[in-house]
Amino acid sequence: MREVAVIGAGMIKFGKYPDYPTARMGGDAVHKALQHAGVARRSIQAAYLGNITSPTNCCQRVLAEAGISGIPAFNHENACASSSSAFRSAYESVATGVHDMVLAIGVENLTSLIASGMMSSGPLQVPFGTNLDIDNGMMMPAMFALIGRRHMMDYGTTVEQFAQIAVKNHKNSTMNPFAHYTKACSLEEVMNSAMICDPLTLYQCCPIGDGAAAVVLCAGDKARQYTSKPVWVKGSVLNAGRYKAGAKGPVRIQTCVDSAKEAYEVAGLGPEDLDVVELHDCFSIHELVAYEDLGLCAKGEGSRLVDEGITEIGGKVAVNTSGGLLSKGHPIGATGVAQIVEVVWQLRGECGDRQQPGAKVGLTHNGGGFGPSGEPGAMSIIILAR
Amino acid sequence: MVGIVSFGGFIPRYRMDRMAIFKSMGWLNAANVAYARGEKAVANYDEDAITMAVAAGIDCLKGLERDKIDGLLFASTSLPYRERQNAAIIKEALCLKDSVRSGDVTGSLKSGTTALLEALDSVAAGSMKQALVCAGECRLGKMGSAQELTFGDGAGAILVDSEDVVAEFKGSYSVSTDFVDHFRGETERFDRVWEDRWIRDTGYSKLVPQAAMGLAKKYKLQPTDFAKVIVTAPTSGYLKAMAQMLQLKPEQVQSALLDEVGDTGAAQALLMLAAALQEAKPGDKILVISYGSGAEAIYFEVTDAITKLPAHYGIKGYLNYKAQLVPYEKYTTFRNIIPFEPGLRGEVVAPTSLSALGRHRKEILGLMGSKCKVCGTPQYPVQRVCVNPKCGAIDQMEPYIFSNKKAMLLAFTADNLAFSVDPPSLYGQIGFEGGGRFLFDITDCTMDDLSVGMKLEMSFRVKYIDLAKGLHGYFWKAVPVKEG
Repeated sequence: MREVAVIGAGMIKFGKYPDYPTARMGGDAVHKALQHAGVARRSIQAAYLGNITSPTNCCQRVLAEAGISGIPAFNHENACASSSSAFRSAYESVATGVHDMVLAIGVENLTSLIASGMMSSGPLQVPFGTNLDIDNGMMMPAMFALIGRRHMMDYGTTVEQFAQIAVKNHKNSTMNPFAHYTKACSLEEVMNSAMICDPLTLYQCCPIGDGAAAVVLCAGDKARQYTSKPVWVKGSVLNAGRYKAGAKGPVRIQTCVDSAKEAYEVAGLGPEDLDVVELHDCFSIHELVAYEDLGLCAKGEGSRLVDEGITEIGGKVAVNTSGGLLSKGHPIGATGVAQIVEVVWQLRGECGDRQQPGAKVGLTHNGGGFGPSGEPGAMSIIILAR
Repeated sequence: MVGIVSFGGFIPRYRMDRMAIFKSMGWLNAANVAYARGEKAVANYDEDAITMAVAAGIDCLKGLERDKIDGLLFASTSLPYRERQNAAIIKEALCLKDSVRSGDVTGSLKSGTTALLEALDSVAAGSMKQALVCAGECRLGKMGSAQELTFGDGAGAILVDSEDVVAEFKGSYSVSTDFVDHFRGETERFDRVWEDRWIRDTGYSKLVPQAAMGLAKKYKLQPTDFAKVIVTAPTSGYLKAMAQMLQLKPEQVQSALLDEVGDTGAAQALLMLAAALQEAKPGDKILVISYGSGAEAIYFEVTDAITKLPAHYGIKGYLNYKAQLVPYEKYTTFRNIIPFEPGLRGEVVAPTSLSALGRHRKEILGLMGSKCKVCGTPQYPVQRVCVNPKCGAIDQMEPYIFSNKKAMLLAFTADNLAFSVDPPSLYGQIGFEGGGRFLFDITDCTMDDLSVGMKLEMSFRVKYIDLAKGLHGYFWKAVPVKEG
């Protein structure tokens, strides 16, 4: 396996774009990534794209908007972890020597679906009997609300501590011109926003939105031809959830624990080495539980990290400097690569007011769906270092 | 000796104060104040005649072997389906064996006793070994009608066998006439009811005594020879007048639960019989008379075996387990009487795949999971590969019923976003005693009633109604365990 570097990263501002077609959004993100990398489009040898709602050949249509054709193009669907999965495939193709220069892309336009009525009763509505979990209310807010209430019961975590995570991420997003929402909100505003799924209030749930992001991956021995600041892929781990029988309780996402451990081993690094983390804060509760599952603290101590400000910008490990899914937004297929974009920019010191000082090592954490066992369908952990 | 071996009942948790209904609709028909006393039991939004009959069946079959049952009859005049056998849904919910003879008995308020007689005769003839009779009723009265006040919801169940009976079947007498006191045409939702005094004087007061005296003459008895006389009746006035006519002493008259539950139609006779048997002593003679399109009288004698029956939650327990359904408009919304705004999320109902339902009917309607024959781990939904990470055996599963297992609440939440006519939707992760974990809706309670670690049991419920297609989907929900 060869060393692989990310040499360019770009994204469009996330938001609600009912009239900005998926292919155009993706194409614009690719242009920005190529520009950032200083790479001509003819140098791209293959492209890997994550998306869940578009019709067939989404990658090809995005590439066409970027003026790229006649190369291998791959479409990945893995729920919320679709573009992290695309990144993993892109990484493999370079690491194994099949290609020297490839794109990983994530793109999603959800609001145009809502406008056409496809999502009026929830994006995952299925006929009864084909998916008992979803028919029984295992929509995402309910799933994480269950975890949160049990966490409160087992470890004494408070509703305010969950809400404080939303305050942090919304604050971070005010410094990110690419975020869907760029408005700070107080603890009171978070607590008093509409109750969605007890104890989750509206501002503790990620919005529905649109966006696109792309990164350029390059063979390690060629990376310095293009940039003086390559960001090295130290590990890219992707696992499907195991059967859950035997797990200790509903407050641990075992696939995350296992995948993070594997990624740290591959990278030769540990959670103590991390300076920045972009994690899957689809709901405030998930961020707190992920602190524990990623090993940033022991099980049950996630609330301490909140209270001590350890995950704020300038803290020991800054989490979701971009604003996270909660405020930067969560256009499903775009999320994984957008997380990588933020960490690449952080490690290159290009994040302006939200820059984590001296960031050297970063991690992205991206979960996709729930498998038949109640564990994530896909869990991606990627460790990057400068 | 043919007779009853077990009995059960079910009364839904919600009650409505009849005066509160009258306060909402009495302005329209002021004379209805005569019916505005006591309470009526009303099904929750996710209950109907089928689900309540299943609950009564579960009460009846407590501790009994279900594979002995080879006959199932369901009596109701408020069947959720006109086509698709309602009894077959009950059969799946109760996990009865496939080789069971099943049927719906309907069209008359005496359907409950008609079904019971069919079961008794089939067992006597030897064509059935053991037959379960369930009757459930969830009738609808027009807004402002007397029926809206008098009707109540509930269910009863009786198990018939030829051995170890607690009440021996001694005989019966039936009267059938086309006396039309009310009717409901093929496309109608509400009954067309004729004038009350004419029904009482010309119908009820003649047909009920005709059946009672017919039976008494046939078996050389007097109505006064019975320890308990069960007479179905729409209001307590009817019952009082009949007791006088038959010269019954007050202690002989079985309560029709009219002030507590209401007129439960075709289920009333079985509900009253279950309540009477819960109090009966060996040697008691019991007379059941049910009115409707004529009248029907059945005569039982209680045996010594009644003292050995396991404790049932029974009618008494249900009478004390209740909550008020307020306001009145919540009731009209539960029953979809007045159009209401479901919001965009409530608008779309995904089409039900009948092939998927057929394939998974035992899992969905029977809450049947699987248990690994190698390691013994219970699992749901049915798995092919054992979920136990230390086992992983393939194709080593046997059927495993979860619906009769107690469970513990592991985590819960209230969802304000999902559409429900009774928001917020309550969900919980449930751990079953003996193993197995799944996510269920929680019903018959509010968020305040829930706490991690509390005991739950399973209840068969309407999961969704596809109004456009007239489809009722059923599944199991968790409910707090009732005391006693």
